[in-house]
Amino acid sequence: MSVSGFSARRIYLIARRDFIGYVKTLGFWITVLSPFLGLGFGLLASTMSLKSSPARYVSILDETGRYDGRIEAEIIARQEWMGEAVLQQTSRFTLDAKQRTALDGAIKAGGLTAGKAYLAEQGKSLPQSFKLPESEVVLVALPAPNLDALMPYIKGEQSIIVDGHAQKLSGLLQFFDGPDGAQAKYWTINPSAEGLSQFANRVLRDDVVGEYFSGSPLSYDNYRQARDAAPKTQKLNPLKTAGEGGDGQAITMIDKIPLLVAAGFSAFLWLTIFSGSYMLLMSMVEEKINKALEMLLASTRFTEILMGKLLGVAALTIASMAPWIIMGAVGLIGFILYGDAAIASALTDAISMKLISFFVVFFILGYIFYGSLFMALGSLAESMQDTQTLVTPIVILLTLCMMVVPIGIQTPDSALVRLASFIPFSAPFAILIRLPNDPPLWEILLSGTILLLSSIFVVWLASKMFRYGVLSGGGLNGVKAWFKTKVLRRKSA
Amino acid sequence: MSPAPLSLTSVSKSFAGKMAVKDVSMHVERGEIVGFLGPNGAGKTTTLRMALGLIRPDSGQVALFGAAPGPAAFGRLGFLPEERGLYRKSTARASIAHMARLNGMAGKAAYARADEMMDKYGLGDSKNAKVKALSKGMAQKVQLIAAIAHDPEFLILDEPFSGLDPVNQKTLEDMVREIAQRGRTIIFSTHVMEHAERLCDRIVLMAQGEKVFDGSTQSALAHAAKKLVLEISDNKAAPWLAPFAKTITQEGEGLYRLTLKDSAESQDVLEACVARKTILTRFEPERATLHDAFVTLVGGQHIADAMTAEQEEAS
Repeated sequence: MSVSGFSARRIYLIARRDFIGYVKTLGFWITVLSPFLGLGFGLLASTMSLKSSPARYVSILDETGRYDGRIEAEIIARQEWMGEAVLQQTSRFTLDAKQRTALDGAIKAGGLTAGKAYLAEQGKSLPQSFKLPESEVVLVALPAPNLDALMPYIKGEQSIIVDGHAQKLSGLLQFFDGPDGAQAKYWTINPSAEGLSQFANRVLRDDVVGEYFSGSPLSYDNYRQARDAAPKTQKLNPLKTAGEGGDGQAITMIDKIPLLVAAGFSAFLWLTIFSGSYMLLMSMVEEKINKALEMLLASTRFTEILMGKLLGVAALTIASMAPWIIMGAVGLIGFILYGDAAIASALTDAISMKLISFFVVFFILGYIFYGSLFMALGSLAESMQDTQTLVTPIVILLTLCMMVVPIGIQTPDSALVRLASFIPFSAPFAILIRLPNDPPLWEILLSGTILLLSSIFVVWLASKMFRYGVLSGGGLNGVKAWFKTKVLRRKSA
Repeated sequence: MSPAPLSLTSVSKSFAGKMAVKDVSMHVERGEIVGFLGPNGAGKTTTLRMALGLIRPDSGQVALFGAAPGPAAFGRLGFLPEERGLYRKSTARASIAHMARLNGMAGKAAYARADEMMDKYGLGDSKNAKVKALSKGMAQKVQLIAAIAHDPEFLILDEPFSGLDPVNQKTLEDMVREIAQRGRTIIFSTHVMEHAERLCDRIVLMAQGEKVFDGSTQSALAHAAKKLVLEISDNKAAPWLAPFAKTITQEGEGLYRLTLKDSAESQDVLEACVARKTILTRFEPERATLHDAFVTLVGGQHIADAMTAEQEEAS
């Protein structure tokens, strides 16, 4: 079959070879599996870190007699707090919104025990298997009665005995009364160890603040309650309906979701275009360096090679992005099913057909635009060093174009973002970030048209550059010579 | 009657103001095997690239099978470029099949042909070897097979023998001869005259971008200077040998090397020796070579320039 003289079969064969050629490489599979490998490696690293981190044994030398018990209580309280957080997070996926609110209430009222009791009432198996996270530090009894006698243990010259095994003392927290009140020192030979110093700081601070308030009818607890209860500025959007309670106009996190979703799509588009274009560049440079192109050109048009490569690498990009897309979709579905209902609803509204349609259209146009540009530059390269020199300016430009995303989130009506949507280099990313604010349709169409015409121009330019870069054998010099003789109409010296 | 596979009419091409090919015309008829000769930098590759339509001539016309080079000729052509290249990570078999499919063969048939030809040309054990693992000679054979697997009517080979050892050159020569015997048209460029002498019906000589000869191998050889090695009892024969020779070099006691004048024949020298009753111990007319013909046709200055260019390229 041929369209305007182009052979679909030859385009398919070029695309197929590029696709299969890359799929058979180790690099492709590393890319495809990278999200899973990253996840697995992260979990493994954290598990290994937990398992391999030796318990840090710490003692308290409390010369004041007032802090020993309080530090122990602080450690237990922190363990409880961490346990509550873990219990709340892990049970999110098994509870509905009402149950989650009830669990939060139970934990607030009665702590971890109450939270576990509530889950048991609901018939959840989590409380039985739930274990409190292990503390990073383990308090041990003083191995010697005073600081001088304790020094050999702190320096690592002597060991303490824990459960019948010799262990090193990681540090010693010393409380003593100074001229201005209680003070603390933490002795350790490990410069990065925090040990118990954070707990000591907290209890000493509470003492100082408590003493400050003790001379007045005020209390520290009352001060904190008053501070937390202070009114906060309410952000309102007059375009929203006030509703019965009158707070329907309040701007919440939900209002930002369409922008964040558009920003996510825009960033994903950037990543996809960048990775696809880079693969195209490498594919072209490889064939240029391999000298396989000339042989291909005796049986295939350059435009067919260009189109074949664009298609092959597009399929490859989609294949390599598939794990990210799948993970994103699974995460989204998980959130819709188990997450906050209001946010889930806002998410499903934000991921509209309009957004997806424009994402697809601008992905295709942006990919053709950047892909052709990268391929044209690849055709000029004589070596990998050339490739880097040629591509660096475009990579910098592409990176700058990415700046429209954070600007678009902060100020969606920014004149800069609006302008960027008419510049082919930034149009795909700028248009997507503007979509939640419903820009006029003519602006979207104009942006698409400019990008389409620019893509056609870039494909034409790519074939011209290719002809002078590859076939004249001159690479960059060939293009310079062409520019001088054809454009500047100068005669060569 | 179907048009000639290749026809170039007054074709010229310059790069950045430097003339690479100047007013070259030539025609390759069906079934011919044409040697395209000349030193490096003579314009052979540029002419072949123009013939394929890879680059456009500044002036003149190119016709492949009677039409402008382009998609109409795809599948009818086989091309081996001067700079060798295959996909290094592909297998030899897949590389051949890929090119055959691009030239119109169906998938299964292309793989079957790749297998058949690799067996035929002694590469049966390397079918699934990656190209990067092949020796230079083997990779060159694979590339030639990739160029001919679809059995093209017309084959353009740019310096097919360069970089090969004598054994592989012989194998490649046999391959070219076998293709020619099947009635296919072949043009190949080379700067090694011996290959052309052994293989070609016709030769086209290029020097400094211009065509200097186009004709049968025999007529080219007729341009070669006649040479004669003579060993006689007369140690002072140069004066009476002079009327027959352009140059006389005395290489030893009574040993002379003569380049004969166009009007003189070896027989004339023999008759002169008999007439002077000189004792003749050696009389060896030397066989004319294309190299000699090339020197005669191009002239000393051209050769010197070409040799300098080759040396510069090699360094």
